[in-house]
Amino acid sequence: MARSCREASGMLRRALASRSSEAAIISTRVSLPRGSIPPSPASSSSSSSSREGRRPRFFSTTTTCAERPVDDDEWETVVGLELHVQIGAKTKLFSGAERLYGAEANANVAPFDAALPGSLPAVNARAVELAARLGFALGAHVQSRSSFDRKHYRYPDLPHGYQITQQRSPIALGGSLDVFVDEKAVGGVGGADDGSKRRTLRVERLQLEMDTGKSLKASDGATTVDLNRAGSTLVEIVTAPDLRGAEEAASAAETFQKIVRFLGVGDANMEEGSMRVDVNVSHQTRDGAVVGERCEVKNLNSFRSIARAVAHERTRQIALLERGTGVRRQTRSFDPATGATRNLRDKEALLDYMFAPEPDLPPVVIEPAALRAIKAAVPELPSEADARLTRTRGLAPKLARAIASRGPRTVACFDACADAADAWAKRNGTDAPAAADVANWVTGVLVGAVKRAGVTTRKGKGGSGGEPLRGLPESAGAARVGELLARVAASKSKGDSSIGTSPVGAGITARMAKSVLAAMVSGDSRPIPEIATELF
Amino acid sequence: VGGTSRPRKQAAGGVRRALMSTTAQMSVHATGLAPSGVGGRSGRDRSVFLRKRASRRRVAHVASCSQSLVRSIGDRIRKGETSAEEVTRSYIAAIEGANATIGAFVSVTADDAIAQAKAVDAALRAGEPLGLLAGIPLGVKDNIATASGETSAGSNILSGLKSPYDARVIESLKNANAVVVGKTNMDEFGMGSTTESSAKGATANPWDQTRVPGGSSGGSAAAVAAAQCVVALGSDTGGSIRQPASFCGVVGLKPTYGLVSRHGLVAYASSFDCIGPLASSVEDAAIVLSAIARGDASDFSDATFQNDKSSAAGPAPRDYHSHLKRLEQLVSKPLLGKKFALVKETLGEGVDAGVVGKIVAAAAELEKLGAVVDVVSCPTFGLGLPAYYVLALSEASSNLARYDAIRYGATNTTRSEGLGAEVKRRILMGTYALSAGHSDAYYKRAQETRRLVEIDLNSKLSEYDALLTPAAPTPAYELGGKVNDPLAMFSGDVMTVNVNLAGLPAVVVRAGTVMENGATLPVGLQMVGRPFGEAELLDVAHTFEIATFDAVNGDWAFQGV
Repeated sequence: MARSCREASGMLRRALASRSSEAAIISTRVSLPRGSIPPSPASSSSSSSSREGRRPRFFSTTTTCAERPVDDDEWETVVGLELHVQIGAKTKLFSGAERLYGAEANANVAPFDAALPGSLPAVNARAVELAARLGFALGAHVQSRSSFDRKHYRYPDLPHGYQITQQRSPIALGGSLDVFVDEKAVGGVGGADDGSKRRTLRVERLQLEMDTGKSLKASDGATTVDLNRAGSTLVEIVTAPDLRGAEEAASAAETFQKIVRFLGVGDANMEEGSMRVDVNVSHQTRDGAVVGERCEVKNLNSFRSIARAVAHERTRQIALLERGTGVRRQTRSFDPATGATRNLRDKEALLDYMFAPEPDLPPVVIEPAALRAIKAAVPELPSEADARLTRTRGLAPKLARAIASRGPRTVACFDACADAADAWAKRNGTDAPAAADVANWVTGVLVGAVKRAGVTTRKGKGGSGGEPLRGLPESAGAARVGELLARVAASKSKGDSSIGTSPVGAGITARMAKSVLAAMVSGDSRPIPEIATELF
Repeated sequence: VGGTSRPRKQAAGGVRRALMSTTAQMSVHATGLAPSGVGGRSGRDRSVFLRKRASRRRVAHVASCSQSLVRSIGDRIRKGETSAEEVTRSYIAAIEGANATIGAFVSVTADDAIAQAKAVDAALRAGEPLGLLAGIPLGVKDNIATASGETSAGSNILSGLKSPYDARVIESLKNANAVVVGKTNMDEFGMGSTTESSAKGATANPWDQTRVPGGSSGGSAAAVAAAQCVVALGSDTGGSIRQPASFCGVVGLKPTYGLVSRHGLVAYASSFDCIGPLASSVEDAAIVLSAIARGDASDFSDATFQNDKSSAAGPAPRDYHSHLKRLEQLVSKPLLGKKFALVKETLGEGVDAGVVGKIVAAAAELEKLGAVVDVVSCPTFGLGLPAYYVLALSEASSNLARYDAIRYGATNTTRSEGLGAEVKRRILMGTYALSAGHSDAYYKRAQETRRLVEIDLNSKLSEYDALLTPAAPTPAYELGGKVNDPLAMFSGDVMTVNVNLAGLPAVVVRAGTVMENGATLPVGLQMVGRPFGEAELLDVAHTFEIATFDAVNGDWAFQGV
């Protein structure tokens, strides 16, 4: 089974520690030490092979790799991701200090963030809850008991000399997500019925860890350290090497971003560094005869950079493999200015992180009831909602995606209105409105009425905060909206247009219903036929 | 039982008189107060320095007091017979007088202390009801963060470090209106058993200035013994409160791990470190514990918080002192029904015969008080020492990784120059034990051993109310005696480390004195209690202390006042 770089590093480190001289020479055809990426069985990627290696069309910048295209068909690019997502928005969850992007350097530093003697870490229950939420949303097994470890290394922006992480027992294991790639719109959590390709990306683990500070190069060549970020809580997500090619890598990262925002787990803003991505890239021949060593490209800060870094690695690694010199296992950085990656350190000289249990923090224990509550509160992901609406409500894929992409409140509102309309129709022996009609009413007329009435109570970007269908008055609750739509359907099918006379539909036409709905949204809670009679 | 007359010369007035005379005697050395005056020498230099001028004469110490000094001084302040300011000034004068020879304090925050004392006096004048600790001078080990003065943990690399915050225990004690007079000397980062590894120079034992006060809380123990403060805070990672308490003839309490917040304690080995009091009586130690044993949401290893986080205000304050009886309240067999286990392995080879004699005699006294004392074997006893050193040093190598002489403390040095030899030795050992390829053989096995020790001790404690052992295998030894023999130094911790491995509470009380080369030296009895059983443990220790004082300490003549 393929292991991610992070998980493997400990094992490999141990394997290499005793045989470093041997490991220093890695040829392309030697069987690799434990932890390397084996040829992926049954992962023939028909989906992306035709595009492999080409510069992704959706990016306009020229890259060095684009000028030197390599033969696509023989080599397969294998990519796994490590994503770091900052949890929460306002405060650091290991120290409680404010976390504001763009603040003056070292302005938001608690004693713990600067590793002052005597300071202790804390873990906010909210951080654990959000990480568990993300875990559940990805279908992972969220552990009721996880624990913290110290990972030791020396770096100027790591004042403690160790990072608190979850090496032995992470908060969640397993899970997966579907990544879609199409020519027009990369990423998105959309459906697979419109020509886009689906790739299932396995998640190996989610772990809580402490963020570091930032090292910045000053103009005089000195390195300065900003600890504003230090002590924030990160979730690190490690995936299996299931992705094939640059496009899928970028799309997968974007999918993660959408999910994180959708769940309200964090901002996941790559420019601000609240989401950072490392890619592990290796190459293998399709027949499995050659399996190259992998390289990790660290700290990519845009989707474009992810794609460009993978593309550059493809050119570089295939050239090395074809030359027969082999790829050295390295940690590399990516320079957006040149589009090239650069070696930071050879993994042969692997660091000994001296993992040890973190004595300042007890294991995180989530009681079963709390675990169930967190799971129950996870909203349906857009991709899931999309699939369900198509399957069980019979919506056309495009319409289903339109509803799902608006967010969970829209989905819930649609579901409730459709159910209410069905129930009303059943009770009154009329024909229920078509699901597509309900969908159009909810996303069009109802949203429009709500916006005009100024009912929207919360503004914000991302997640569900920007959905208008929040705080609907009781007078425009799902039961009444459903009834209204059912009456329209009944009136239509009975051909009954005389107001108030129809015993069931009350003769409400679609045009009239718009005005009735607007009145309901504005707080009119009288029976629907009464509103209609007064208006017309 | 009890009720006989005991030395009671050390009522507050007596103490103050004692201090005044000491001050007069020592005033020529008053310049020794400034930390720089003490700190200029290395530990070795200072030992020589002390040896040259050392006499066997004891400075005035109040260690033979079994009565609560906190109560007697506090009562006099509250009654207006003296003022907090007057008390504080007299103790500061005592420090100034004796610090050149004893070296218990590394820094004194006289101005802040007097300001605090004045505030106490003002509050009393305003009719505010103040607690037992109001106006009581308190010494604080130099590894506990205080917003006033330095917090250097006995290390050059933290020299000049001004903590931006008070440790949680300091906050609690200030809320109780105790007066922090200064910081006490310690082995660098708590790594040592003699206080000789301090970058500020060694501390002398007030009983015999050619001897060590123990460590690492040697400064706190010596300060209490020499009446330079009424109570002091120490920290205990492997015995650092209990062994110096024994060497200096004072009471030392190591609370259950997790009872007292570690917030603000400069970490040595985080899964062992405990803050606790040193005092001249069990009751005083109990009064301090009541003030500092509060739930702290900022220390996640704080058990009170873990157990009682449901209440938003945190757990209710605990009281470890109100139930302690006065001597005249004791019934004839006050410990009837109690069962104690005298640990067989702690009385055998390598343990000083005089020490064994005192411990056995103390056990006999406990029997006279109605208790049953069995000699019991703890088979895991010998396993503790190596396991402790592997685990503690592994944690230390991690905790001390942050000291790079760049961001705080001394920034004009380097890591290799700023850290002392003992600290570097321990970092290297810990790093080795954690390294890939070694951690299974050392760290993991030590963790398993820790578990065995914990199971063994707890199973004994399910049958016995407390375990009895000496606090140290020997009385205080000569300065410089073990500096070049780290293994001998490590093995001196054999009595105490198992208690830390198991996280249990333990109190050290006086068990009399022994003569060695003409010096009278105190011996401490360690009583190990059940997890979070401090109330019962202190009750037993207090009863033993007040009821047997004359019998146990008959040769404990209080001189020099």
